[in-house]
Amino acid sequence: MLADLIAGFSTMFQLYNMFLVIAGVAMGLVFGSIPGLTATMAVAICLPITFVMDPSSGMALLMGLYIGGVSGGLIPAILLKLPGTPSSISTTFDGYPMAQKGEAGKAFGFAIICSFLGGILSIFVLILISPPLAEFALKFGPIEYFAITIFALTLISSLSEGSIVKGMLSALLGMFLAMVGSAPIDAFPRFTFGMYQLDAGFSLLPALIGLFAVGEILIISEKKINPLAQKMNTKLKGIGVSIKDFISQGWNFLRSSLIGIGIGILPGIGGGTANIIAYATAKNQSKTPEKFGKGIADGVVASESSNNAAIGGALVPLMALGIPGDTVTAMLLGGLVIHGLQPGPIFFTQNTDIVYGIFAALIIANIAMLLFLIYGMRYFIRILSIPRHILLPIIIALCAVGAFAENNRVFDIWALLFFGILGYLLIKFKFPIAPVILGFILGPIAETNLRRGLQLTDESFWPFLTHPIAAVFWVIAIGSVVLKAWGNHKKKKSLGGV
Amino acid sequence: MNVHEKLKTKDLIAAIALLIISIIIYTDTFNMKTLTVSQVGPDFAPRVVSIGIFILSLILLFQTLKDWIMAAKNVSSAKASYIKDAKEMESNKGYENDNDVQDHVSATLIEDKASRWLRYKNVLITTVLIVLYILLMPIIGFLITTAVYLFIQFCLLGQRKYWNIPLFLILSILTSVIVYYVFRLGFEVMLPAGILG
Repeated sequence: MLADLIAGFSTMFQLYNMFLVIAGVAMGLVFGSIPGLTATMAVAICLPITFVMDPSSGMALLMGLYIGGVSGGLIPAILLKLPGTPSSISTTFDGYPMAQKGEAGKAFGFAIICSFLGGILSIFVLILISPPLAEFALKFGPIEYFAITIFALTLISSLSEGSIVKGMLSALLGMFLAMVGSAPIDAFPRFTFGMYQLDAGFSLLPALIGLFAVGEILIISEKKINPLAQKMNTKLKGIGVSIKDFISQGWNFLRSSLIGIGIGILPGIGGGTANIIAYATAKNQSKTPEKFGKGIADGVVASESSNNAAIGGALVPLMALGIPGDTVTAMLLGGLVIHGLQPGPIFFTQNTDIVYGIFAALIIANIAMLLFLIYGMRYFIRILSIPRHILLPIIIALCAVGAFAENNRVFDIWALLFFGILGYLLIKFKFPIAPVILGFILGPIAETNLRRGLQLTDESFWPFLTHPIAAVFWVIAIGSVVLKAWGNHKKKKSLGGV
Repeated sequence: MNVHEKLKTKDLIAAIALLIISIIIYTDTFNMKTLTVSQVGPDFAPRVVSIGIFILSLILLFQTLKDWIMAAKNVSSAKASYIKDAKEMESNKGYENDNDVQDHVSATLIEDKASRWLRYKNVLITTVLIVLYILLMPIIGFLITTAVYLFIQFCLLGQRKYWNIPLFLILSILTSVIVYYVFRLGFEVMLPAGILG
């Protein structure tokens, strides 16, 4: 393993790959720091560029974007009380009050150090647990894979925000959209409505970019945009955190990072949920919960260590099982598949160089992120004043290019717009989007494995339930739905009582 | 009407729309032929999914209706919520001047009655603009359509007082030229050349 890791590093230390990682981090930080632009969007826009690169270089760029995109959110969260990405929502709770009290440097110090250490810790967990997990998963056949995909879909539907019914509807909608085109195994064309362009189904890229980037931009286009700059309050005096300060946060840091890693590993939810749960836990466990929200460093530590820790966590199921842990990893899956690579157990044995290249790229990206934020903070703050009414149209044009690039056809730009409008409607009607994407990606995997499994079991459904590994996943899946339904029920009752 | 109730109307619309979609999917599966010996053919999974959507949207429908009936029963509490609404509106007004607060957590959270039509109008114009962009791209070519699209979209999204026409012009032309040649030369993506090609 160590030899593989060293080989991975030597790939990434090549000048070109090094440049891609660093450029990725810088661009990710820009996307992360501008509210309305997210890590998912950055990855979506750059995905088409990676097609012409070799897989390792492509992954180098995407990992840089991922790390940078999640980390950049802390800048406006502390300075403007605007989370740059959903991963930094709870950073605003205490980061902004700290900056108001003149402790912006201290808030940044904690946020940057925790982002870095939380990220590194999670990457080590990833490197340690994903190879054995992949090895274990080698035993899985179609029956187990069917159970895992359904398990992942139920989990994301029940864990995503809001009503469980809507979450599941989103997932089913995604599964339906993936059915357009040739059916698995016998290639019977379904739901093509006579359009020959749909014979191969919707391409993954227009679907991903449409739902995440175009949909979000349509939401923003609802109103004229004001520049952000005017209420900026920038007085920064270096990183105001001593080692002693940090050690006093040690336990909080560790707990929040572990929460982040754990939540990251669960399919479908990532940093956006992790930071809120870590913050709430830190507040509950604190001896002085009343200080939370008024500018206490603990809040910043909890939020920023957990959201970066979710990165390594989210990559665990992607790498070991081929099941994305959050929306960005769903994009990464798309990026790998386009190169003809299928993450999962066989990925580890056949493409060891790429797997460890990804690990190395993550570590390098984390270090680059740390250096960028410490030495380049001033410049990233200045980026916040780039007007968004100029950025967003350019992003739409880039999305169009990206959708076009995969197959060189204008039809895919129409598909992009279709998914963009769908994403907009889903947001407006308060349906979560992540389950749609996971349904879109996992639906075909589930169907293929179901039909393959049935061929193995002579058309009997019974073994699907009784195979031990599959059975475990069924039990957890049903458990998660029951728990969430119960929780919602209780919440409703208590609200009704007031 | 408060935010909560508005959401309920939306849930109702969504539930009915999804019910219709599920029925369409289900009926369409009868056109599918099983090409293999297996009894589980290409129609199986769509049927399961459509039945799932049907049942879940029925649940959503009943939940919404139940909440409405409950709300109708509590006439007395309606008064209280009316006062709460008025207060909410008041506090919303504070936000109104403060666009930034609204922009970030996706605009869904704040539903402002007065500007609601304006919002949908903006989205509609943007959508139409993108439709025209895609329609004309293969005919006129990427370079010109992108430059024109960008320029109009800059103006549409930016507030009047921040319009900077020379900057918009330079940026829209520059972006379209750079993207076109970077993708053509660097990534071998042949964007439509149109009349220029």
